[in-house]
Amino acid sequence: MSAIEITFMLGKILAFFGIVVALAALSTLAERKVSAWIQLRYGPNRVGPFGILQPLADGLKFIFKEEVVPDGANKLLFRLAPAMVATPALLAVSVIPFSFPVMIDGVSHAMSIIDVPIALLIILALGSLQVYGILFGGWASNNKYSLLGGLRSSAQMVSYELTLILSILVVMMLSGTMNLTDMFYDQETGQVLLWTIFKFPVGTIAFGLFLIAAFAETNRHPFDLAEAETELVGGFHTEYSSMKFALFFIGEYAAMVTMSCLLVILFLGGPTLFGLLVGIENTWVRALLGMGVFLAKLCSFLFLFIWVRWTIPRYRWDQLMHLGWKVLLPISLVNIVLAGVWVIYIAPTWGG
Amino acid sequence: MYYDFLNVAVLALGGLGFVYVNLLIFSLIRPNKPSKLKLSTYECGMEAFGSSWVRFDMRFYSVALIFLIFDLEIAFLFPWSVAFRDLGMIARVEGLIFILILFVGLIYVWVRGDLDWVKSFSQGRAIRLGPTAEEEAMLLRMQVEQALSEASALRTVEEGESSTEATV
Repeated sequence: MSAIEITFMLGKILAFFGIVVALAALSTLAERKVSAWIQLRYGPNRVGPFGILQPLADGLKFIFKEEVVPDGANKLLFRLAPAMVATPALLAVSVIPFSFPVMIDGVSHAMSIIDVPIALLIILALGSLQVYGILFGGWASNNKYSLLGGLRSSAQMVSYELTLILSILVVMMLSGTMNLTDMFYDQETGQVLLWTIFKFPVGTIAFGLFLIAAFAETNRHPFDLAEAETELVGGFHTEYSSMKFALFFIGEYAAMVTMSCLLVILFLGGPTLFGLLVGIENTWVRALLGMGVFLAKLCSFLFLFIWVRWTIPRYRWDQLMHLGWKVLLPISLVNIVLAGVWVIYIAPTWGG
Repeated sequence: MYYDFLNVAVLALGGLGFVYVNLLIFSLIRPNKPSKLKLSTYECGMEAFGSSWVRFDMRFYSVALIFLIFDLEIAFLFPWSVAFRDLGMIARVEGLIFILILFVGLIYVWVRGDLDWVKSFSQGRAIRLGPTAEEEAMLLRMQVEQALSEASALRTVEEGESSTEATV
Protein backbone atom coordinates (compact mmCIF):
# COMPACT_ATOMS: atom_id res chain seq x y z
CA MET A 1 0.00 0.00 0.00
CA SER A 2 1.65 3.18 -1.18
CA ALA A 3 1.57 6.59 0.47
CA ILE A 4 -0.77 7.96 -2.17
CA GLU A 5 -3.23 5.17 -1.51
CA ILE A 6 -3.26 5.93 2.22
CA THR A 7 -3.78 9.63 1.57
CA PHE A 8 -6.55 8.81 -0.87
CA MET A 9 -8.19 6.55 1.71
CA LEU A 10 -8.06 9.10 4.53
CA GLY A 11 -9.12 11.84 2.13
CA LYS A 12 -12.14 9.79 1.09
CA ILE A 13 -13.13 9.13 4.69
CA LEU A 14 -12.83 12.80 5.64
CA ALA A 15 -14.54 14.05 2.50
CA PHE A 16 -17.52 11.69 2.55
CA PHE A 17 -18.06 11.91 6.28
CA GLY A 18 -17.83 15.69 5.95
CA ILE A 19 -20.24 15.73 3.02
CA VAL A 20 -22.89 13.80 4.91
CA VAL A 21 -22.57 15.78 8.15
CA ALA A 22 -22.49 19.07 6.24
CA LEU A 23 -25.50 18.09 4.13
CA ALA A 24 -27.37 17.00 7.26
CA ALA A 25 -26.58 20.33 8.93
CA LEU A 26 -27.37 22.37 5.84
CA SER A 27 -30.66 20.59 5.26
CA THR A 28 -31.85 21.75 8.69
CA LEU A 29 -31.25 25.29 7.43
CA ALA A 30 -32.78 24.45 4.05
CA GLU A 31 -35.80 23.01 5.83
CA ARG A 32 -36.45 26.32 7.56
CA LYS A 33 -35.58 28.41 4.52
CA VAL A 34 -37.82 26.43 2.16
CA SER A 35 -40.67 26.36 4.65
CA ALA A 36 -40.36 30.12 5.02
CA TRP A 37 -40.31 30.50 1.26
CA ILE A 38 -43.44 28.33 0.90
CA GLN A 39 -45.23 30.24 3.65
CA LEU A 40 -44.11 33.68 2.39
CA ARG A 41 -41.81 34.40 5.32
CA TYR A 42 -38.10 35.26 5.47
CA GLY A 43 -36.83 32.38 7.57
CA PRO A 44 -33.52 32.57 9.45
CA ASN A 45 -31.59 35.54 8.01
CA ARG A 46 -29.61 37.05 10.91
CA VAL A 47 -26.65 34.69 11.39
CA GLY A 48 -24.25 35.29 8.54
CA PRO A 49 -25.32 36.18 4.99
CA PHE A 50 -28.81 34.76 4.30
CA GLY A 51 -28.61 32.92 7.63
CA ILE A 52 -26.05 30.50 6.22
CA LEU A 53 -24.28 30.14 9.58
CA GLN A 54 -27.48 29.25 11.38
CA PRO A 55 -26.66 25.49 11.71
CA LEU A 56 -23.34 26.44 13.32
CA ALA A 57 -25.07 28.74 15.79
CA ASP A 58 -27.61 26.02 16.55
CA GLY A 59 -24.79 23.54 17.14
CA LEU A 60 -23.05 25.90 19.57
CA LYS A 61 -26.29 26.44 21.41
CA PHE A 62 -26.90 22.70 21.67
CA ILE A 63 -23.44 22.29 23.22
CA PHE A 64 -24.07 24.87 25.95
CA LYS A 65 -27.58 23.82 26.93
CA GLU A 66 -28.37 21.84 30.03
CA GLU A 67 -29.13 18.17 29.61
CA VAL A 68 -32.18 17.01 31.51
CA VAL A 69 -32.62 13.34 32.33
CA PRO A 70 -36.14 13.02 33.73
CA ASP A 71 -36.88 11.32 37.03
CA GLY A 72 -37.67 7.66 36.73
CA ALA A 73 -36.11 7.35 33.28
CA ASN A 74 -34.00 4.32 32.52
CA LYS A 75 -30.66 6.16 32.63
CA LEU A 76 -28.61 3.72 30.57
CA LEU A 77 -31.04 3.32 27.68
CA PHE A 78 -31.92 7.01 27.80
CA ARG A 79 -28.29 7.94 27.21
CA LEU A 80 -27.67 5.16 24.71
CA ALA A 81 -30.64 5.87 22.44
CA PRO A 82 -29.41 9.06 20.65
CA ALA A 83 -26.06 7.42 19.92
CA MET A 84 -27.88 4.37 18.57
CA VAL A 85 -29.81 6.56 16.16
CA ALA A 86 -26.94 8.79 15.05
CA THR A 87 -24.08 6.27 14.71
CA PRO A 88 -25.63 3.84 12.18
CA ALA A 89 -26.87 6.77 10.12
CA LEU A 90 -23.33 8.18 9.95
CA LEU A 91 -21.75 4.77 9.31
CA ALA A 92 -24.04 4.01 6.38
CA VAL A 93 -21.92 6.45 4.35
CA SER A 94 -19.14 3.88 4.25
CA VAL A 95 -20.51 1.92 1.30
CA ILE A 96 -21.98 4.70 -0.81
CA PRO A 97 -19.95 5.51 -3.93
CA PHE A 98 -20.14 9.24 -4.60
CA SER A 99 -18.58 9.06 -8.06
CA PHE A 100 -16.81 6.99 -10.71
CA PRO A 101 -13.80 4.92 -9.67
CA VAL A 102 -10.34 6.48 -10.14
CA MET A 103 -7.11 4.89 -11.30
CA ILE A 104 -4.10 4.96 -8.97
CA ASP A 105 -0.96 3.21 -10.27
CA GLY A 106 -3.09 1.32 -12.75
CA VAL A 107 -5.42 -0.05 -10.10
CA SER A 108 -9.05 1.03 -10.04
CA HIS A 109 -10.25 2.41 -6.71
CA ALA A 110 -13.94 2.84 -6.06
CA MET A 111 -15.09 6.23 -4.78
CA SER A 112 -16.67 4.70 -1.71
CA ILE A 113 -14.95 4.21 1.63
CA ILE A 114 -15.24 0.47 1.25
CA ASP A 115 -16.09 -1.33 -1.93
CA VAL A 116 -17.87 -4.50 -0.86
CA PRO A 117 -20.18 -6.73 -2.88
CA ILE A 118 -22.91 -6.57 -0.23
CA ALA A 119 -23.18 -2.78 0.05
CA LEU A 120 -26.98 -2.77 -0.06
CA LEU A 121 -27.25 -5.34 2.73
CA ILE A 122 -24.99 -3.21 4.94
CA ILE A 123 -27.13 -0.12 4.38
CA LEU A 124 -30.35 -2.04 5.12
CA ALA A 125 -28.84 -3.57 8.26
CA LEU A 126 -27.66 -0.21 9.59
CA GLY A 127 -31.04 1.31 8.76
CA SER A 128 -32.77 -1.38 10.80
CA LEU A 129 -30.51 -0.65 13.78
CA GLN A 130 -31.99 2.83 14.01
CA VAL A 131 -35.34 1.32 15.01
CA TYR A 132 -33.75 0.12 18.26
CA GLY A 133 -32.52 3.59 19.08
CA ILE A 134 -35.95 5.09 18.57
CA LEU A 135 -37.69 2.37 20.56
CA PHE A 136 -35.17 2.66 23.42
CA GLY A 137 -35.49 6.42 23.45
CA GLY A 138 -39.26 6.23 23.59
CA TRP A 139 -39.36 3.54 26.23
CA ALA A 140 -36.64 4.89 28.51
CA SER A 141 -38.04 8.42 28.80
CA ASN A 142 -40.72 7.50 31.36
CA ASN A 143 -43.18 9.56 29.38
CA LYS A 144 -46.42 8.30 27.88
CA TYR A 145 -46.10 10.38 24.74
CA SER A 146 -42.57 9.14 24.19
CA LEU A 147 -43.62 5.52 24.62
CA LEU A 148 -46.45 5.88 22.12
CA GLY A 149 -44.24 7.81 19.70
CA GLY A 150 -41.50 5.19 19.88
CA LEU A 151 -43.98 2.36 19.32
CA ARG A 152 -45.63 4.11 16.42
CA SER A 153 -42.34 4.98 14.85
CA SER A 154 -40.96 1.45 15.07
CA ALA A 155 -44.19 -0.14 13.79
CA GLN A 156 -44.19 2.30 10.90
CA MET A 157 -40.54 1.68 10.08
CA VAL A 158 -40.90 -2.10 10.02
CA SER A 159 -44.09 -1.91 7.94
CA TYR A 160 -42.51 0.17 5.22
CA GLU A 161 -39.18 -1.63 5.36
CA LEU A 162 -40.79 -4.56 3.53
CA THR A 163 -41.77 -2.35 0.62
CA LEU A 164 -38.34 -0.73 0.67
CA ILE A 165 -36.53 -4.08 0.52
CA LEU A 166 -38.86 -5.48 -2.13
CA SER A 167 -38.31 -2.50 -4.42
CA ILE A 168 -34.55 -2.85 -3.90
CA LEU A 169 -34.90 -6.54 -4.87
CA VAL A 170 -36.40 -5.43 -8.18
CA VAL A 171 -33.41 -3.20 -8.90
CA MET A 172 -31.09 -6.06 -7.96
CA MET A 173 -32.89 -8.35 -10.40
CA LEU A 174 -32.55 -5.77 -13.16
CA SER A 175 -28.85 -5.12 -12.58
CA GLY A 176 -27.74 -8.44 -11.11
CA THR A 177 -25.53 -7.02 -8.38
CA MET A 178 -25.55 -5.72 -4.82
CA ASN A 179 -22.47 -3.54 -5.27
CA LEU A 180 -23.49 0.08 -5.69
CA THR A 181 -20.65 1.02 -8.07
CA ASP A 182 -21.55 -1.83 -10.40
CA MET A 183 -25.15 -0.82 -10.05
CA PHE A 184 -24.74 2.60 -11.58
CA TYR A 185 -22.33 1.25 -14.19
CA ASP A 186 -25.11 -1.11 -15.20
CA GLN A 187 -27.35 1.88 -15.80
CA GLU A 188 -25.14 3.73 -18.23
CA THR A 189 -23.87 2.82 -21.58
CA GLY A 190 -24.54 6.18 -23.03
CA GLN A 191 -28.31 5.99 -22.94
CA VAL A 192 -30.88 7.69 -20.75
CA LEU A 193 -33.23 4.75 -21.13
CA LEU A 194 -30.95 2.54 -19.08
CA TRP A 195 -31.58 4.43 -15.86
CA THR A 196 -33.77 2.18 -13.74
CA ILE A 197 -36.48 4.81 -13.42
CA PHE A 198 -37.04 4.71 -17.20
CA LYS A 199 -37.33 0.93 -17.36
CA PHE A 200 -41.07 1.09 -17.76
CA PRO A 201 -43.13 -0.22 -16.03
CA VAL A 202 -41.02 -2.22 -13.56
CA GLY A 203 -38.35 0.32 -12.68
CA THR A 204 -40.83 3.19 -12.56
CA ILE A 205 -43.12 1.37 -10.12
CA ALA A 206 -40.13 0.34 -8.01
CA PHE A 207 -39.00 3.98 -7.91
CA GLY A 208 -42.42 5.12 -6.72
CA LEU A 209 -42.56 2.43 -4.06
CA PHE A 210 -39.05 3.18 -2.86
CA LEU A 211 -39.75 6.91 -2.69
CA ILE A 212 -42.88 6.44 -0.56
CA ALA A 213 -41.15 3.88 1.66
CA ALA A 214 -38.14 6.19 2.03
CA PHE A 215 -40.38 8.95 3.36
CA ALA A 216 -41.89 6.53 5.87
CA GLU A 217 -38.52 5.00 6.80
CA THR A 218 -37.02 8.36 7.69
CA ASN A 219 -40.15 9.39 9.63
CA ARG A 220 -40.66 12.32 7.35
CA HIS A 221 -43.86 14.09 6.51
CA PRO A 222 -46.50 12.95 5.41
CA PHE A 223 -45.67 9.91 7.54
CA ASP A 224 -44.23 11.65 10.60
CA LEU A 225 -46.83 10.18 12.94
CA ALA A 226 -44.17 9.39 15.50
CA GLU A 227 -43.92 13.08 16.24
CA ALA A 228 -47.32 14.31 15.20
CA GLU A 229 -47.26 17.52 17.21
CA THR A 230 -50.98 17.72 17.78
CA GLU A 231 -51.18 14.17 19.12
CA LEU A 232 -47.91 13.24 20.76
CA VAL A 233 -46.07 16.52 21.42
CA GLY A 234 -42.61 15.55 20.14
CA GLY A 235 -43.03 11.78 19.95
CA PHE A 236 -40.10 9.68 21.07
CA HIS A 237 -37.83 12.67 21.70
CA THR A 238 -40.23 14.67 23.90
CA GLU A 239 -37.98 14.36 26.96
CA TYR A 240 -34.70 14.92 25.15
CA SER A 241 -32.77 18.14 25.33
CA SER A 242 -29.42 19.60 24.41
CA MET A 243 -26.94 17.44 22.48
CA LYS A 244 -29.01 14.27 22.80
CA PHE A 245 -31.85 15.98 20.98
CA ALA A 246 -29.39 17.23 18.37
CA LEU A 247 -28.10 13.70 17.80
CA PHE A 248 -31.62 12.46 17.10
CA PHE A 249 -31.91 15.20 14.54
CA ILE A 250 -28.52 14.49 12.98
CA GLY A 251 -29.55 10.84 12.77
CA GLU A 252 -32.80 11.72 11.06
CA TYR A 253 -31.21 14.05 8.54
CA ALA A 254 -28.26 11.73 7.88
CA ALA A 255 -30.75 8.92 7.21
CA MET A 256 -32.50 11.27 4.82
CA VAL A 257 -29.19 11.91 3.02
CA THR A 258 -28.49 8.16 2.83
CA MET A 259 -31.95 7.48 1.43
CA SER A 260 -31.48 10.20 -1.19
CA CYS A 261 -28.09 8.68 -2.10
CA LEU A 262 -29.75 5.30 -2.55
CA LEU A 263 -32.51 6.83 -4.67
CA VAL A 264 -29.92 8.48 -6.91
CA ILE A 265 -27.74 5.38 -7.26
CA LEU A 266 -30.49 2.79 -7.65
CA PHE A 267 -32.88 4.67 -9.90
CA LEU A 268 -31.20 7.72 -11.44
CA GLY A 269 -27.89 6.27 -12.51
CA GLY A 270 -25.72 7.77 -9.75
CA PRO A 271 -23.05 10.12 -11.16
CA THR A 272 -23.84 9.29 -14.79
CA LEU A 273 -25.22 12.01 -17.00
CA PHE A 274 -26.69 10.68 -20.26
CA GLY A 275 -23.36 9.01 -20.98
CA LEU A 276 -21.55 12.35 -21.31
CA LEU A 277 -18.98 11.63 -18.63
CA VAL A 278 -17.98 8.12 -19.66
CA GLY A 279 -15.85 9.30 -22.54
CA ILE A 280 -13.52 11.41 -20.37
CA GLU A 281 -10.09 9.76 -20.32
CA ASN A 282 -8.68 11.29 -17.13
CA THR A 283 -10.34 9.35 -14.34
CA TRP A 284 -9.79 12.13 -11.78
CA VAL A 285 -11.56 14.75 -13.90
CA ARG A 286 -14.33 12.28 -14.59
CA ALA A 287 -14.66 11.47 -10.89
CA LEU A 288 -14.86 15.16 -9.94
CA LEU A 289 -17.49 15.94 -12.60
CA GLY A 290 -19.38 12.80 -11.62
CA MET A 291 -19.39 13.87 -8.01
CA GLY A 292 -20.87 17.22 -9.02
CA VAL A 293 -23.65 15.47 -10.93
CA PHE A 294 -24.23 13.10 -8.01
CA LEU A 295 -24.47 15.92 -5.48
CA ALA A 296 -26.84 17.85 -7.74
CA LYS A 297 -29.17 14.85 -7.98
CA LEU A 298 -28.81 14.26 -4.24
CA CYS A 299 -29.70 17.85 -3.38
CA SER A 300 -32.75 17.77 -5.63
CA PHE A 301 -34.02 14.76 -3.69
CA LEU A 302 -33.32 16.51 -0.38
CA PHE A 303 -35.31 19.44 -1.70
CA LEU A 304 -38.14 17.05 -2.58
CA PHE A 305 -38.15 15.72 0.99
CA ILE A 306 -38.50 19.25 2.35
CA TRP A 307 -40.97 20.38 -0.30
CA VAL A 308 -43.30 17.46 0.46
CA ARG A 309 -43.12 18.15 4.19
CA TRP A 310 -44.45 21.69 3.82
CA THR A 311 -47.14 21.09 1.22
CA ILE A 312 -48.85 17.78 2.00
CA PRO A 313 -51.11 17.10 5.02
CA ARG A 314 -50.26 14.31 7.45
CA TYR A 315 -51.65 10.78 7.18
CA ARG A 316 -53.85 9.29 9.86
CA TRP A 317 -52.40 6.27 11.66
CA ASP A 318 -54.84 3.66 10.34
CA GLN A 319 -54.49 5.11 6.84
CA LEU A 320 -50.74 4.72 7.15
CA MET A 321 -50.99 1.05 8.11
CA HIS A 322 -53.57 0.49 5.37
CA LEU A 323 -51.29 2.07 2.76
CA GLY A 324 -48.24 0.13 3.90
CA TRP A 325 -49.71 -3.34 4.22
CA LYS A 326 -52.66 -3.41 1.84
CA VAL A 327 -51.56 -1.20 -1.01
CA LEU A 328 -47.78 -0.98 -1.24
CA LEU A 329 -46.92 -4.53 -0.14
CA PRO A 330 -49.14 -6.35 -2.70
CA ILE A 331 -47.99 -3.96 -5.44
CA SER A 332 -44.35 -4.60 -4.63
CA LEU A 333 -44.85 -8.39 -4.60
CA VAL A 334 -46.56 -8.25 -8.00
CA ASN A 335 -43.80 -5.92 -9.18
CA ILE A 336 -41.18 -8.59 -8.46
CA VAL A 337 -43.03 -11.06 -10.68
CA LEU A 338 -43.26 -8.37 -13.35
CA ALA A 339 -39.53 -7.73 -12.99
CA GLY A 340 -38.89 -11.42 -13.60
CA VAL A 341 -40.90 -11.29 -16.82
CA TRP A 342 -39.17 -8.02 -17.77
CA VAL A 343 -35.67 -9.39 -17.29
CA ILE A 344 -36.43 -12.50 -19.34
CA TYR A 345 -38.41 -11.01 -22.23
CA ILE A 346 -37.88 -7.25 -22.50
CA ALA A 347 -34.36 -6.62 -21.14
CA PRO A 348 -32.53 -8.23 -24.13
CA THR A 349 -34.24 -5.77 -26.50
CA TRP A 350 -34.18 -2.70 -24.21
CA GLY A 351 -32.04 0.26 -25.17
CA GLY A 352 -30.62 -1.46 -28.24
CA MET B 1 -9.06 -6.35 0.49
CA TYR B 2 -8.28 -6.45 4.19
CA TYR B 3 -7.20 -2.83 4.35
CA ASP B 4 -10.68 -1.92 3.14
CA PHE B 5 -11.83 -2.80 6.59
CA LEU B 6 -9.19 -0.52 8.06
CA ASN B 7 -11.17 2.22 6.31
CA VAL B 8 -14.27 1.04 8.10
CA ALA B 9 -12.46 1.01 11.42
CA VAL B 10 -11.29 4.59 10.85
CA LEU B 11 -14.78 5.67 9.81
CA ALA B 12 -16.38 3.87 12.75
CA LEU B 13 -13.94 5.60 15.10
CA GLY B 14 -14.85 8.89 13.43
CA GLY B 15 -18.56 8.26 13.72
CA LEU B 16 -18.44 7.02 17.30
CA GLY B 17 -16.00 9.82 18.18
CA PHE B 18 -18.33 12.42 16.70
CA VAL B 19 -21.22 11.09 18.75
CA TYR B 20 -19.42 10.51 22.03
CA VAL B 21 -17.34 13.68 21.98
CA ASN B 22 -20.57 15.58 21.63
CA LEU B 23 -22.25 13.58 24.38
CA LEU B 24 -19.50 13.11 26.94
CA ILE B 25 -16.78 15.72 26.58
CA PHE B 26 -19.08 18.67 26.01
CA SER B 27 -21.15 17.58 28.98
CA LEU B 28 -18.33 19.00 31.13
CA ILE B 29 -19.10 22.55 30.04
CA ARG B 30 -22.86 22.26 30.26
CA PRO B 31 -24.71 23.74 33.22
CA ASN B 32 -26.32 21.21 35.53
CA LYS B 33 -28.95 22.68 37.83
CA PRO B 34 -31.67 20.09 38.27
CA SER B 35 -34.82 20.90 40.18
CA LYS B 36 -37.80 18.74 41.06
CA LEU B 37 -40.07 20.46 38.58
CA LYS B 38 -37.51 20.33 35.80
CA LEU B 39 -36.98 16.61 36.22
CA SER B 40 -40.66 15.73 36.18
CA THR B 41 -41.89 14.20 32.93
CA TYR B 42 -43.63 16.48 30.50
CA GLU B 43 -47.36 15.93 30.22
CA CYS B 44 -48.63 19.14 28.64
CA GLY B 45 -48.49 21.03 31.92
CA MET B 46 -50.67 18.57 33.80
CA GLU B 47 -49.19 16.84 36.82
CA ALA B 48 -47.88 13.47 35.67
CA PHE B 49 -49.60 10.51 37.25
CA GLY B 50 -48.94 6.79 37.27
CA SER B 51 -46.20 4.86 35.59
CA SER B 52 -45.51 5.50 31.93
CA TRP B 53 -44.77 1.89 31.21
CA VAL B 54 -48.37 1.15 30.53
CA ARG B 55 -49.76 -1.80 28.64
CA PHE B 56 -49.86 -0.84 25.00
CA ASP B 57 -51.88 -1.96 22.06
CA MET B 58 -51.59 -5.61 21.09
CA ARG B 59 -51.67 -4.68 17.42
CA PHE B 60 -48.14 -3.26 17.55
CA TYR B 61 -47.01 -6.73 18.56
CA SER B 62 -48.91 -8.47 15.78
CA VAL B 63 -47.50 -6.03 13.22
CA ALA B 64 -44.00 -6.83 14.48
CA LEU B 65 -44.67 -10.58 14.22
CA ILE B 66 -45.99 -10.33 10.66
CA PHE B 67 -43.01 -8.17 9.72
CA LEU B 68 -40.60 -10.71 11.19
CA ILE B 69 -42.00 -13.53 9.07
CA PHE B 70 -42.07 -11.47 5.89
CA ASP B 71 -38.59 -10.09 6.46
CA LEU B 72 -37.21 -13.57 7.00
CA GLU B 73 -38.75 -14.80 3.76
CA ILE B 74 -37.53 -11.77 1.86
CA ALA B 75 -34.02 -12.40 3.18
CA PHE B 76 -34.10 -15.72 1.29
CA LEU B 77 -34.90 -13.82 -1.90
CA PHE B 78 -31.72 -11.72 -1.85
CA PRO B 79 -29.36 -14.29 -3.46
CA TRP B 80 -32.06 -15.35 -5.91
CA SER B 81 -32.66 -11.83 -7.15
CA VAL B 82 -28.95 -11.03 -7.51
CA ALA B 83 -28.40 -14.17 -9.57
CA PHE B 84 -31.69 -13.88 -11.46
CA ARG B 85 -30.10 -12.92 -14.80
CA ASP B 86 -27.90 -15.99 -14.91
CA LEU B 87 -30.32 -18.52 -13.45
CA GLY B 88 -31.99 -21.25 -15.44
CA MET B 89 -35.71 -21.22 -16.06
CA ILE B 90 -36.46 -23.78 -13.32
CA ALA B 91 -34.68 -21.77 -10.64
CA ARG B 92 -36.47 -18.60 -11.74
CA VAL B 93 -39.87 -20.29 -11.55
CA GLU B 94 -39.00 -21.76 -8.15
CA GLY B 95 -38.30 -18.27 -6.86
CA LEU B 96 -41.60 -17.07 -8.24
CA ILE B 97 -43.38 -19.96 -6.46
CA PHE B 98 -41.69 -18.84 -3.24
CA ILE B 99 -43.08 -15.33 -3.80
CA LEU B 100 -46.49 -16.90 -4.42
CA ILE B 101 -46.25 -18.56 -0.99
CA LEU B 102 -45.39 -15.15 0.46
CA PHE B 103 -48.44 -13.75 -1.26
CA VAL B 104 -50.68 -16.51 0.13
CA GLY B 105 -49.38 -15.65 3.59
CA LEU B 106 -50.26 -12.01 2.98
CA ILE B 107 -53.78 -12.96 1.86
CA TYR B 108 -54.15 -15.17 4.96
CA VAL B 109 -53.32 -12.39 7.44
CA TRP B 110 -55.41 -9.98 5.38
CA VAL B 111 -58.51 -12.20 5.51
CA ARG B 112 -57.94 -12.94 9.19
CA GLY B 113 -58.14 -9.20 9.75
CA ASP B 114 -54.68 -8.83 11.28
CA LEU B 115 -53.85 -6.00 8.91
CA ASP B 116 -56.89 -3.93 9.84
CA TRP B 117 -55.93 -1.25 12.30
CA VAL B 118 -59.53 -0.25 12.87
CA LYS B 119 -61.32 -3.57 13.27
CA SER B 120 -64.27 -4.01 10.97
CA PHE B 121 -67.48 -4.84 12.81
CA SER B 122 -69.19 -6.57 9.92
CA GLN B 123 -66.78 -9.51 9.99
CA GLY B 124 -68.17 -10.80 13.27
CA ARG B 125 -64.74 -11.84 14.56
CA ALA B 126 -63.94 -8.65 16.36
CA ILE B 127 -65.65 -7.73 19.59
CA ARG B 128 -68.66 -5.53 18.95
CA LEU B 129 -68.01 -2.29 20.76
CA GLY B 130 -71.03 -0.43 19.44
CA PRO B 131 -73.73 -0.40 16.76
CA THR B 132 -72.77 -0.86 13.10
CA ALA B 133 -73.07 2.01 10.67
CA GLU B 134 -76.47 0.78 9.41
CA GLU B 135 -77.83 0.34 12.91
CA GLU B 136 -76.54 3.75 13.84
CA ALA B 137 -78.23 5.30 10.80
CA MET B 138 -81.49 3.53 11.63
CA LEU B 139 -81.30 4.70 15.22
CA LEU B 140 -80.68 8.24 14.06
CA ARG B 141 -83.60 8.05 11.61
CA MET B 142 -85.92 6.78 14.34
CA GLN B 143 -84.82 9.59 16.62
CA VAL B 144 -85.38 12.18 13.91
CA GLU B 145 -88.82 10.77 13.10
CA GLN B 146 -89.76 10.78 16.75
CA ALA B 147 -88.59 14.35 17.13
CA LEU B 148 -90.52 15.34 14.02
CA SER B 149 -93.73 13.69 15.22
CA GLU B 150 -93.33 15.34 18.62
CA ALA B 151 -92.81 18.68 16.94
CA SER B 152 -95.89 18.27 14.74
CA ALA B 153 -97.93 17.17 17.78
CA LEU B 154 -96.74 20.30 19.59
CA ARG B 155 -97.62 22.41 16.59
CA THR B 156 -101.19 21.05 16.43
CA VAL B 157 -101.55 21.73 20.15
CA GLU B 158 -100.24 25.28 19.65
CA GLU B 159 -102.52 25.77 16.66
CA GLY B 160 -105.43 24.46 18.73
CA GLU B 161 -104.51 26.88 21.50
CA SER B 162 -104.22 29.81 19.11
CA SER B 163 -107.53 28.90 17.46
CA THR B 164 -109.24 28.70 20.84
CA GLU B 165 -107.68 32.10 21.69
CA ALA B 166 -109.06 33.47 18.45
CA THR B 167 -112.53 32.18 19.15
CA VAL B 168 -112.27 33.60 22.66
